[in-house]
Amino acid sequence: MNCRQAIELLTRMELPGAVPLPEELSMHVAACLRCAREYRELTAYRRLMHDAFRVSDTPVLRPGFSTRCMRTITAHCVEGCGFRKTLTALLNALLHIPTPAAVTTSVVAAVLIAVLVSHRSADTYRTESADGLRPPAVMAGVLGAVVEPIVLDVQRDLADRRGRELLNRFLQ
Amino acid sequence: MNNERLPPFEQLVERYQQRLFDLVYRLFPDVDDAEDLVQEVFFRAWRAYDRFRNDADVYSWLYRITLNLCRERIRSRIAVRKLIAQDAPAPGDSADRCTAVTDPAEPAPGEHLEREELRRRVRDAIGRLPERFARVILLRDIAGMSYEEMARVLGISVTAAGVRLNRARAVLRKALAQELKEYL
Repeated sequence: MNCRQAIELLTRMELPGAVPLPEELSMHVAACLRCAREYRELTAYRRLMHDAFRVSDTPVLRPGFSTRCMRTITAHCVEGCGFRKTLTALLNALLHIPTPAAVTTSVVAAVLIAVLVSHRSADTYRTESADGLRPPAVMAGVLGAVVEPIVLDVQRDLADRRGRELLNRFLQ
Repeated sequence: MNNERLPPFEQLVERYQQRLFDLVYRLFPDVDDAEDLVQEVFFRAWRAYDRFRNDADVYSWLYRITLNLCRERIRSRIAVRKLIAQDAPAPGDSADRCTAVTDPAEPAPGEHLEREELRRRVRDAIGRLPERFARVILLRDIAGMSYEEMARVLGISVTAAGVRLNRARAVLRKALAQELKEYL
């Protein structure tokens, strides 16, 4: 037996030191200083690991663990679905302009933006803005800029709908 | 779900829960902690279950998730202790001096506490190992798996698993040199 084989056998042993070594290995370890040291160190390592992680009796999982586990997973799923649903609804509302709800939301948002912007402008341009506009005028300008595309969109949508109705009537 | 042949997830939980719990409990011997961790393992597995390929080994896959989570948990505990240690009074403070004076009079700490401390130190050392080394140590030296089982979980050959284990043990033995002195 050579050192490589001896060390491989020692490494694979479950608990070196706890059970006597096979005769051939034992003779090699007794004769070879390097393997003897390896054997001592491995024994020490095994004993340390055994002491650190020895569990006299691993408890059994408490009854109903799988049910609890599945309930938690389902709860996470529902939570996730709820969040996703809200997000999808919000995206739909914003992307499918103009729907009445989206138009209302956009108008409210536009008013809020306008108020915020004009308040900031009011601080900056207390007397007169660079364009000579006073805060209410700034507010109206911002509001107009935000609302105008929406109004145009709504008008176009209404016109489309009216067109389709006329076409239907004509075809009937 | 992409793959119709996959068994229902509840079956997986039923089949593997105790085996995973055994491994986790050895590292964190507190039933609540261990159960929480196993639950987290199944939750992570469930999130990826629809992407899971049926030709892969469910058992190995669940073990790999468990190993990752255990390592994460060890590392987060190390980080928390570091933070606490930063806030603790420096050595030489009055509180420390009081302890030093009263220590000899106090009874020696119990075996349970000593083992808990030893477990913590070894666990921390494993947590600091590179991931590939930590995995083999956890599977072989803590879960007590055979080389063949370990190779199966890691998806490598038995020889490669053996080589990796030897390297991992060498690094860990160096890290635990202080603790090992008492056993030599």
